[in-house]
Amino acid sequence: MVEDHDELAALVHARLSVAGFTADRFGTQELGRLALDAGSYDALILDLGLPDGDGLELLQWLRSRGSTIPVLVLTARSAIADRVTGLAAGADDYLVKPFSADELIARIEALLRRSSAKYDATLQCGAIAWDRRTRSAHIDGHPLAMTPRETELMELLITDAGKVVRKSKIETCFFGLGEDFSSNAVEVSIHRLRRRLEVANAGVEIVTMRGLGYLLRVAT
Amino acid sequence: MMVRRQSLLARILVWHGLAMVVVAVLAAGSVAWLLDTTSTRLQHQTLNAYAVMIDEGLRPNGDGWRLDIENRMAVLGGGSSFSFGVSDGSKVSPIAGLPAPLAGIGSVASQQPRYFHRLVGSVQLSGVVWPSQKSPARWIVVVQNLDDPAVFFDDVNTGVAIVATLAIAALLTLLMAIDVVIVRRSLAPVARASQAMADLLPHDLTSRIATSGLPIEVLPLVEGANVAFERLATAYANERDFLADAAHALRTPLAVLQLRVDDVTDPAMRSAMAAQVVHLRRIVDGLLTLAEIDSTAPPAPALVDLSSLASDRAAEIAPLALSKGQTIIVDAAQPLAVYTLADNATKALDVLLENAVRHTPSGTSIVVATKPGQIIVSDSGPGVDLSDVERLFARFQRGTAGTEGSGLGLSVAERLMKQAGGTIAFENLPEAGSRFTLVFSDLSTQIEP
Repeated sequence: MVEDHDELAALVHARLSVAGFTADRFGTQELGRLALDAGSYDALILDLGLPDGDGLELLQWLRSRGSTIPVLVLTARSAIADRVTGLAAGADDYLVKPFSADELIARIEALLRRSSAKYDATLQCGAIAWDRRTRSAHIDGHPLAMTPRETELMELLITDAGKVVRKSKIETCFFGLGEDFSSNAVEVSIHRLRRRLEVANAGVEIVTMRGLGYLLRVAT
Repeated sequence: MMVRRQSLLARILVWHGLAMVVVAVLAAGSVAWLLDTTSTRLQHQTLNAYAVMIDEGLRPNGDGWRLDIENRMAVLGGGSSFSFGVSDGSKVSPIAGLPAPLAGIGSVASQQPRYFHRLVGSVQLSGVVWPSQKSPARWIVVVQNLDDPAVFFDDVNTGVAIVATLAIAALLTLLMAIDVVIVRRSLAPVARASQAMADLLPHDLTSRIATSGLPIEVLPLVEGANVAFERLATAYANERDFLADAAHALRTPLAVLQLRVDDVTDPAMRSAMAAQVVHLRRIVDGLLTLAEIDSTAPPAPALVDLSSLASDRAAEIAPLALSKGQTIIVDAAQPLAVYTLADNATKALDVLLENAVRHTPSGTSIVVATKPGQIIVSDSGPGVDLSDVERLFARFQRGTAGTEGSGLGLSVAERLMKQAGGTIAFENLPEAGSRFTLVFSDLSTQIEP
C-alpha cells in the first residue's frame, strides 16, 4: 500500500490484517518503487496524492515495466475525467475517499479473484456454499442437485449476490447453452430454483425486480 | 437607449464619397472656368486679327468699301462663318465681295474694341466693333456665326465638359471600389481576431488571439483582450487547483473518520456516527460537484440510450431500496437514444433515485420510466409539502421533518441538466407521491464533424 496519510494507512492496514491479508505500507512513490522492485506482491493499493508527486506516475512506471499486478487506486478526486485518466493509466479499480473498510476489502478480493485462479473461490450466501471451480452448490454439506439452466442461474445470482442480475444477462447465458427456450424460460427456471432452495432450507430468497431482473439475498 | 450599429466601411464610403464629390465639383468648375476664359480670349484674338487685316486692306469703293486683294484672300481663307462690315458710328456698311453682317449689328461704337455676344433667332453670334487705327470715325465690324460647323471653340467646350463629367464619374466609382477593397483588406485581420475570440471555449482559456498582421490601431484592443484572458485563465487554474486541494483535504479525514467509526463498540453510537459520516460525505460530494460544473469543460455529447441508463442506475440502487422495504419498478423496455452529456445524465438520475429511496418510507413503490427524451422517476411516497415546492431546487434546502439529505442533491441535478441543455421538472401526484422528470435536449448539433 502506497499512502502518505499515516492514520488512514494504519487503519486500512489493520483492516487488511483482520481480513487475512499481509500488507506493507509505504508513504512515497520512491519507497513504493523500491518495494515493488524488491518484493513480490499480489496487489497494490495506491493513493494518488503523494508528497513526491502524483500516484499515477508510479502506476505508469509499474505498467511500463510490464507488471500486471492488480492496482486499486484510492483518490479524493471524483470527477469522471480523473477516473478515466486513472483507468487509462492502468488502474484496475478506483475507490473514492471516503470508503468503508468492507468496500475496500470486497474490491481487493474481487481484483484478486479476477487476476488469479489460485485465489480460493468458495462463495457463501445464506446456507449455500458455491464452488466456483466445480460450479456446484452445497447446503450444510449436502450437494444441491440442479439442471444445467438452474446451475447457470445459480452462478449468475450468487456471483452477484445482493445485486440485481439483469434478465437480459440471464437470457444471454441460456442462449449460450445452445438449447431452444421459450419466452418464459427464465421465469420457469427461477420458479423451479426457488422451490428447490425452499425445500433445501437454503436460507436465501430470489427477489423479482420488475423491469430489471432478479436478486439473490439472505432471507429476512 | 438605442444602440446604433455602424459599419466602418459604410462610414468611410459615405464621407469619402462626399469629399470626392466636393473635390470633383471644384475641379470641374475650375476646368470649366479655365476653358471658358481661354476660349473667350482666343475668340477675341481671332476677331482682332480679322479686324486688323480688314483695317489694313480697306479701300474706298465708290460709296462703299472694298478690300485689297492680298487681305481679301487672307480674310476669305478664314472660312464661311465670318461676316464683315464698316461702321461710321451709326450705320454699318458692307464690304464688297465679303459677307455682310445682319442689319443692326455693330452700330454702337466706342474708342475701345467692344466685344459682344448676341442671339438672333437660334443663331449665336460673337463679334467685335473695332476702332480703326487709320481713321478716328471708322469702326471695323467682325461677326462670327458660332453655330457654323466650321466653328469649333464652343464644340470643344461642350465636348470637354461631357468627357470631363464622364471621366470624373468613372474615377469616383473606381475610387469607391478601391475604398471598399482597401477597407475590407485592412479590416480582414480584425475579422479574423473576432472569429478567434468567438471560438475560444468557455473552459479552455489556453488559446490566445494571434496578433500578427493586425493593424496597430486594433492591436491594443486585441492585446487587451489577451491580457484579460490571461487573468481569467489564471483565475480558472487557481480555482481548479483549489478544487483538487479541497477535495483531498476534505475527503482524506472523512475516510479516516469512516474507518474509525467502524471501531466504535456501542452499536447505537456507531450507526448514529456512521449516518453523520454519510451525511458529511454527501455534502462534500455535492459541493465538489457544483464546483466542478463551474470550472471544468463538459466532454463532447455522446449517444445515450435513456432506457438502458435508467435500467442500469435503477439496478444499482435496487438493493438499497429492497433493504428499506421499497419496490423499484422499471418501465424502460424500448431503446430511446439521445445525444447528451452521459456523465451529467447519470449523475442527475442518481440524485433523483437516491432522493426517492432516501426520502420515502418503507412500502413505497418507485417507478422509473422512459419516454422519448425523458426519464421519469415517480414514487408513491408522501410527496413534497406545498410550502417546500418553490425552494425545492435551492441550495441547502432540505425537506421538512429532518430528512437526512445534503440539501444539495436537487440543485446539483438541476445544474447538471442545465449544463446538458435540459431541464428537470417536478410535480406532486394527485393521489399521493411525487414525480420528477429529466427532460433532455438533443445535442447532436454540437458534435464536431
